[in-house]
Amino acid sequence: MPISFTNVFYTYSPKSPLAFAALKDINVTIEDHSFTALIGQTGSGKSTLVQHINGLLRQSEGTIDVNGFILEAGKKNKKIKELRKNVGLVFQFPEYQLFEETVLKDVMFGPKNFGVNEKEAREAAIDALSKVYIDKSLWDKSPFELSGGQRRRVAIAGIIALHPQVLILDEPTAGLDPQGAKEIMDLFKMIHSSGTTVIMVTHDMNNVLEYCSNVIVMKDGRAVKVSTPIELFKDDETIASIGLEEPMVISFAKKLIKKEINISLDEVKNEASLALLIKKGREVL
Amino acid sequence: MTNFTLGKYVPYNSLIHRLDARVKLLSMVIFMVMIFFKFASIPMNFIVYGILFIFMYIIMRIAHIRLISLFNQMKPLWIMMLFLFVINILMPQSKDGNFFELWKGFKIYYISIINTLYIVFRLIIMLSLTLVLTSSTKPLELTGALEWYMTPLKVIHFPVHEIAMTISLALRFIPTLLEETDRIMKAQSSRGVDFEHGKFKEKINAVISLIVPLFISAFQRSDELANAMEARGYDPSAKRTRYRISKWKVKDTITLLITLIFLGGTICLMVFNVDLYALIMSLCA
Amino acid sequence: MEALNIKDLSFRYDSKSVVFKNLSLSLEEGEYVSIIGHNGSGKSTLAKLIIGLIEPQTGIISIFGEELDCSKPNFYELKKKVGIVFQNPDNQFIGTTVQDDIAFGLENHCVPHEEMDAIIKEYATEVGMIDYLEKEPSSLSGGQKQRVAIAGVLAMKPDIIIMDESTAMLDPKGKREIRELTSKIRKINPRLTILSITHDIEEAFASDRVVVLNKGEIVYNDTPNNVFIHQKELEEMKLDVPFIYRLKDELIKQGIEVTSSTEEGMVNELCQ
Repeated sequence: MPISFTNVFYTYSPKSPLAFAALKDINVTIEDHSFTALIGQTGSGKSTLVQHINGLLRQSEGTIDVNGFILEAGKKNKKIKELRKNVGLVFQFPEYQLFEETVLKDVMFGPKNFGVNEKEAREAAIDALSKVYIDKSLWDKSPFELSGGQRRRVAIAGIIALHPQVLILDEPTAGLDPQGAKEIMDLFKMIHSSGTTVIMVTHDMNNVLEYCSNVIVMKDGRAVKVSTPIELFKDDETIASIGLEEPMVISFAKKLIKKEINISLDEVKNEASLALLIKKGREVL
Repeated sequence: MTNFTLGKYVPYNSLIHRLDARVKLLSMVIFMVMIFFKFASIPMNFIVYGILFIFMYIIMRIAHIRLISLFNQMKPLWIMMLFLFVINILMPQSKDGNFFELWKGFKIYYISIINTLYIVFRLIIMLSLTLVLTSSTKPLELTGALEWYMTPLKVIHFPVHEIAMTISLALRFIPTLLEETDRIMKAQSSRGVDFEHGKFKEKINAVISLIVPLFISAFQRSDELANAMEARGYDPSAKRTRYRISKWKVKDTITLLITLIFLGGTICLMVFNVDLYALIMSLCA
Repeated sequence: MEALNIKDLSFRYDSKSVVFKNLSLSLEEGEYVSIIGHNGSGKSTLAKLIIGLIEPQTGIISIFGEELDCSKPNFYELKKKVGIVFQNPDNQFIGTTVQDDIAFGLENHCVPHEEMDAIIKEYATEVGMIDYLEKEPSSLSGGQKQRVAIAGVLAMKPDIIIMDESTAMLDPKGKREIRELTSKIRKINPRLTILSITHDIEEAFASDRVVVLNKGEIVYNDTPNNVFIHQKELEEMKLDVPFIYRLKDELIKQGIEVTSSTEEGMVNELCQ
């Protein structure tokens, strides 16, 4: 079952002078097992949109269907906890949500809240921690003794340990060094390939191109384009209108195409694939 | 979280807004003292309260404060007033004068009703005074005014400047910390924490999962802030110049004069035991 | 003239961990130098040492030939020559409004009240925040807050500015704003020395010189081109290289050799 938004509106502090329409008439569907990127400028409504998927925010109008779990405007859903177990949301800078005495306990915190017993929670936590490459020697340490990058991974493990069907990530690589960012993105790729739907709010177009299967473009609270990444990067008009920075491989490939080297943009993913395409294109010449 | 209105500055450009914070603060204190004066007779007390209230009403109109916001502020106080009323009736301060019998042997003295009414009137006037002050004065100006009045305390090595700086930094960081609280609450809700329902023990756990990260990030913030302040040459013990210097204007002098006339007038009424009510009654007769 | 000289600097927080050992580095006046290194390589500690927030165990830091030593009378005068912009936009916004924040440093340096307004307006204009003087930080974007921080530092007229990962927490638009502002500032004041501590490899690529820090030691200290040529070694230090160099490397694997090190040059070379 996919996640679908039908005519969804959301207004912050309604009926006050500060009222602000953050989402306007959202109609999008996120397919099961997809790796969807949510992009757009700061304040375009990306984070607001994802917070609706696990019921943290309640839409002012419209209906949201998350894997058969219906959220309607103005109605309280009593099974919200069940929804949150199935939809894991990793916030921006999640390392700030750690609080337990040890790393392991912190990762167990989520599963235990959702009623998993101590033993199973421990197993889930150990499994999640090894997935994010946190060494066994760190499990009994205080999370505050770890480095920033390690804390980020522990926080992510805390959500992975819930075994969610849908994993939502809000700018997961912000503030990490390039190597740390790549490690984390590879982790999400692995989780995605094991059958999890991944939704990622991001500003990094290189990641969108390399990792994502779909992309939703937000502008001023509206979803202005839903496509595959490459379709978006071919669409110069949309790129210009939302002030997007193209992935470097794409802008380089476009420059070569202008000089009449035959490169198929659809196949450009990263530097390696671009190099291969350049070789092919030059042979034709 | 964001809709608390108590003591919130409302940006208008009224005469009251433009007054010097020092004169506003002083006038507020003087009027507060005035409402505790006792006059010749019970009706006379109410006449003075009435005059003060009408005066406050005019001030509020000038400062663009609607009567409704005064009542909104009083909402949480209604229960307290009711409580006071009951206390006053059950335990009258004096058992003099007239009374009526509600039940057999249960006497209600008129004086206790009047005492309660005094408190109600005083509360209304006090609230409207603070409302005018806080909604027409920027917190920073208020801090500046407080610092100015506390300057003489420097002689006894009271850390006036440090306290003023602490207050203004606290004011600066309130919105930041509120935002942070909201984010951590959402992050922990995503991990299955229920901040609204649950048993006592679960509630305690929920609060811990909020408080610990909030404190840790606040400490980190204060550390970074201290570095930033020091890097920009801040030294609490050194002499500094000031960017914001409030200039005393003619309208401030006039305001102070009006306040003093009120003070003088009420003192005269009190000292000479003037009873306007009796005077009017005798004239009518 | 030499703006900054670090000689044989050693520093450790406690007896166990050594952050720097015998580190030496010098910056010429007007130079724009980037320091790169993975998290925990000691980059930010170096910044704190240069602005005198912490003291080294051994070694000398000199600013325009004068030694930075907190026991000497010229310590505060020397500190004034160095300004710093930190990473977190929220935690360095001290004033309640934009103008108060720019004024903060001026107040500390005892600039007379009468002169402040003009200075504040001058630098608010320079960073493009003149229309926001009365605004509170909560209504500004990260990029705008960092621009205010830069104005606050510039207003104190430093000779050296340290950017300590100032763009790390910003979105692409904010990063672009700060990049453009940095080059604008350099044009206005060519004698200003900038030391940028950064993760942004493309930003480092645009500077005059790149210093690579690993485990508290300087591994490379050269022009960007001479540094990024060592792709393998840098990757071993968990560091990235600019896009151009990544692509060059992949092209070599495909048997295509390019010599140019600019994007335009490469495009032209590949089209021949």
